[in-house]
Amino acid sequence: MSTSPENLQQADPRMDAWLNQKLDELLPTKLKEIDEARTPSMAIIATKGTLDWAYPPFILASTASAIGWDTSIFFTFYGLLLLKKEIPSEVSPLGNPAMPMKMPFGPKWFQGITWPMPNLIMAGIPGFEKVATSLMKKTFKNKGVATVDELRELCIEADVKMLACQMTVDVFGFSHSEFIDGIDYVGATYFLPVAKDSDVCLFI
Amino acid sequence: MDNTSLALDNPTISTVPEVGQKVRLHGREIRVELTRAARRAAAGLAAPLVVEMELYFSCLVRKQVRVKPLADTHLPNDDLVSLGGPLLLGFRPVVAEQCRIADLGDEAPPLKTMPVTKPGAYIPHWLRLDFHKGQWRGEFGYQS
Repeated sequence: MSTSPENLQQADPRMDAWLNQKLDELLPTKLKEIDEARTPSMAIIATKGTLDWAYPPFILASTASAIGWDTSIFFTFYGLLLLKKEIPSEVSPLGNPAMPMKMPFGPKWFQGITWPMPNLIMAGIPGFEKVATSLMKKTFKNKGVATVDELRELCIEADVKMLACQMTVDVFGFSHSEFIDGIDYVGATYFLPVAKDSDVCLFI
Repeated sequence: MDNTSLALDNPTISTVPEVGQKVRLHGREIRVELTRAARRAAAGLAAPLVVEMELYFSCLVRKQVRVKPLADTHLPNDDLVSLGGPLLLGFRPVVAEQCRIADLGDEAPPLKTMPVTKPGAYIPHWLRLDFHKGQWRGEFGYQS
């Protein structure tokens, strides 16, 4: 068969059919191979600095990194406090009406009681946050739960990218010396493309 | 022959673990502190015993030290180092095998080893081990 333009034009419908059939056969497998070969990624935006909200970004990031995902955390607004050398976090009942009150000591039946403390009272009693923080830390220690400092250390060791919002640093009047080493100070224009290309993006 | 194989081949060896020794696991150094009671108990072991530092990834991350006979560990021998004599140390990251807790009754969820891509990054920095009233007790952590 000659390869004149006329012949090629005549062969087009058959060529198209052949190509479509081949694509149907090969493409799903090829796409699966490509998907399996690529490294999944996760981008987390950490915006809260209380103790209870400090756990989720570090737990999710350390877990994702453990299974080989490329992971970044962007610390902005109050989330920036989680990068301070001494994490100042305390539990706050404000904005968290579902927070259960449990005691970390005494017999099991006593520890199992959820104390019916109205949120308004929890938020209004002076020193309540310190007590709640102490109870949460004690409960977690009793159960062998890794501390926020340890989880942050794990994230750093596991190459989680720790990104601090430079604008928040400026607005709140912080200096870089107040934060741990190994942080990149970036802006939204840096982080948004990271978030766009990630497989999982979480706002915490 | 490394320390591990020495210990496994000679389970009756009675080397007393050192105080405040450092061992390497997955390329990372761990500071190990055994109380006097733990060292005494370790020196008297007749068979290899594995100290597993278990890191449980779930809604929270839980640390737990489990001490078990060599036959009961899920860790391969290559992932164990000797703490002196037949007392061996290993690190096991785990996840729950199933999340349907309703099916489990009062039982703890069955755990399986988690395939961590960079185990060295998750190796604890320190381990403390005690032997009290016939029971091994320990804790580990990531900060000095």
